[in-house]
Amino acid sequence: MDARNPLADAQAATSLTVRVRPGRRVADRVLRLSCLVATLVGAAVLGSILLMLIVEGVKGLSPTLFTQPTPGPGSEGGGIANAILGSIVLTLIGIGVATPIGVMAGTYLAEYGRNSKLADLIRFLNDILLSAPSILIGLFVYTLMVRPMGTYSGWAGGVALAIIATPVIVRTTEDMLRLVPGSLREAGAALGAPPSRVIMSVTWRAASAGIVTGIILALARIAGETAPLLFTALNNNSWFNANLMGGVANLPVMIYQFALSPYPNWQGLAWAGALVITMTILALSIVARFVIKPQRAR
Amino acid sequence: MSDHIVKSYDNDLEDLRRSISEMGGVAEKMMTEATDALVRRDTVLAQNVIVADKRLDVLQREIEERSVLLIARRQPLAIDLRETISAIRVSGDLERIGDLAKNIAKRVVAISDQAQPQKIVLGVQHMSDLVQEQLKDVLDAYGSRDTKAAHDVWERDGAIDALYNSLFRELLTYMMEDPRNISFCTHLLFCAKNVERIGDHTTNIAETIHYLVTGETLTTERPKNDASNYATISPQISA
Amino acid sequence: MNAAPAISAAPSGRSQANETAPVRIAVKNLDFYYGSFHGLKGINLDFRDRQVTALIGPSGCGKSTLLRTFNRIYSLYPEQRAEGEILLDGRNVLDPKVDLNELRARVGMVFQKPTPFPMSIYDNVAFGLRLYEKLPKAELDVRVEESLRKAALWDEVKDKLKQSGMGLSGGQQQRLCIARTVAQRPEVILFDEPTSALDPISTGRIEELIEQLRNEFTIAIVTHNMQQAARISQFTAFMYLGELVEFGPTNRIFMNPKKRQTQDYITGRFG
Repeated sequence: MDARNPLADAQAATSLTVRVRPGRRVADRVLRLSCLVATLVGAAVLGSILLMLIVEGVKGLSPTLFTQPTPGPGSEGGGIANAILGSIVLTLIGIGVATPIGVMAGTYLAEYGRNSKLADLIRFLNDILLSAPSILIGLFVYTLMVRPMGTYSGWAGGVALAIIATPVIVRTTEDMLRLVPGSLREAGAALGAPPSRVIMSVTWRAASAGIVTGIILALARIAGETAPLLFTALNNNSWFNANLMGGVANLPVMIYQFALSPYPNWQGLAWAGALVITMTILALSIVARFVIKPQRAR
Repeated sequence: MSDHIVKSYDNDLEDLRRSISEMGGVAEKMMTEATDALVRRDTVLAQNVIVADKRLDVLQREIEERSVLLIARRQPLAIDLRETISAIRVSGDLERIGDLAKNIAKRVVAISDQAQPQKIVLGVQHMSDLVQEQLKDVLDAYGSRDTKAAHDVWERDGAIDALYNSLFRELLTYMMEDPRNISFCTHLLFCAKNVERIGDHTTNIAETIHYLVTGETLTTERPKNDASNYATISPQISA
Repeated sequence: MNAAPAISAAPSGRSQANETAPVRIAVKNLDFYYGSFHGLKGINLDFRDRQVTALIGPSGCGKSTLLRTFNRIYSLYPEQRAEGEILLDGRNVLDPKVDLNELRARVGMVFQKPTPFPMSIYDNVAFGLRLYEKLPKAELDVRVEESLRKAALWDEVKDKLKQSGMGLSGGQQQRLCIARTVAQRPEVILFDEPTSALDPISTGRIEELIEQLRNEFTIAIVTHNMQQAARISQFTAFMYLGELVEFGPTNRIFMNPKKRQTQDYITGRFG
């Protein structure tokens, strides 16, 4: 307040710095520096991947990319339209199957199965599934669907993706519902609402942003999965059948196959496909962020 | 009584108690000295009493301020609230006692050059002795939160009233016998009245003690033997 | 009133306890258990019609637990159980045959933290009304307005009924919750520390509101704020370690408690 105060503050500050042992300050700097270096390394790797992807991918961008199907071996030109559409269809099947199962199972775990052993078991299995190698899931669906049906199919691919997405949705749904304060449930019950009503009109609503985010993130995750599709939907260089039987073209497997091929135009298409899929996933992640934002702002 | 969780709360209450006990000491001393001054026609002592009243006023203001602050700061409840309210009340009574003693002292100065029938002065002194004892007992009772002792004081005050009543009649007689006594006797009558009022204040304090300890107000009428309100000069007295 | 002389000297008025009002809730030999922990021990207590009864006591003394038995909200948690009787207008609330949803419509509850539902202000208030009654829209509008008026919130929200209840201030949210409870026209309203998360001005508004609500409802309130209990209640119960230590008219409890523990607690001497 008066003129002497800043001086006194400065003195106090000096005396404070003097009291800190020099060793501590060195340790502080070393830690801060190593954190910074690690961050820079990580960012640099990611940045270079992204940069390479953009540089190489942009070369392959052309109007025909989104209009023409993938070319056969040795033929010129072509696009990846069939793969993009196939990926969209497979992903939608996957998320369409996984969402109701995942949300309901997550609701069971968070709302009904609070103290039950069954819920604990389910949660444990779900966590295992969450980290299971995705190729395993591909093989599982191969024996479950592809072998009996005698053909690769979009259905099998969709189911494999659903199996990958489900545990993600279960987990986020449960976590988000658990974040809803118990007092809100009590308030609903105190008004005489049965549990089903409280869940549908109160807790789901309160957790809706989080649950939707979980679904979007699951969507982003399965959009880029390759391994489970190798054994199920495989790939196809032409437009797929309307009944989704037989190989269905999709971006991840297309990229995998074309990138390994000796044909430069296939390699170019692989780069372009990689760029498209990365940008889509990036967009989904950004959307997920925006869904969660307004909730926090309250 | 165990201590408060907040230590300074105990200190605040302790300060109040100490101030009340100091006020009590000052008031007691003033009253004793005023009576002595009256009996011995000691104007110097009377001046002392007049000066001492200032201290009492200061103490009373302090107690009031402290109590108000305590209420504002700590929102006392139950026994603490009653103690705070009691402190305000008792300090008021003690301050009035000081004023009355001062008034006696002033009258001592006023009548110092007049002839005084020692018999009546002794009557006032006797009454004053009784009231001094009441004051001492009630202050002790306040200090020790002793309702029984307080009740005792409360009931004893009836005797003071009776004594005052008889003094009143006696003084009237003197005045009628010789008009030259009127000035002196009137002053003496006021002194006696002041002593009687001090007695009343001791009963107020006794009632406050009852409230402080039990949380209830004494509502039954106090025994009163003061008939002087109805006394008139009648032919029978002068006869 | 057998202590007639003492009480007659006290100021009378509507804040005075009405000790002859009919008993709305009679708690008889109530025991409560959290698993194996004995949370309430043999509670006997009467709550009188259109009187505010405050439950005070240190944390963990069981006052909230007691409140939560009246609408059996504790039954959300399987490890909690109550034994004894709680008679609401003569009927035992703890009887398993009692319909919980009906009971909760008759015994409303307002919580410590405001709990607006993530929906519009209008829908918040209408929530309880829509549960069991199929009211026509016009009548629903009337009931919502009436409830918001009773909760002294109408003037502040009448132009934004469609906005989210979450956007209100803490004090407004709490009044919204009161409106939601009042809308069901309960007989009893339970307040579980309703102002402990609010600033003094919002607290004042809620206290004023409780004062108003007392004309229509029987109220039980748990509070940590002694002055608040002294201000708004007619009866006060002091609880300690799961037992009811002292119960009586608020004026007496706060001026002249009979039990040493009560005195120590309300004067801040608890060790």
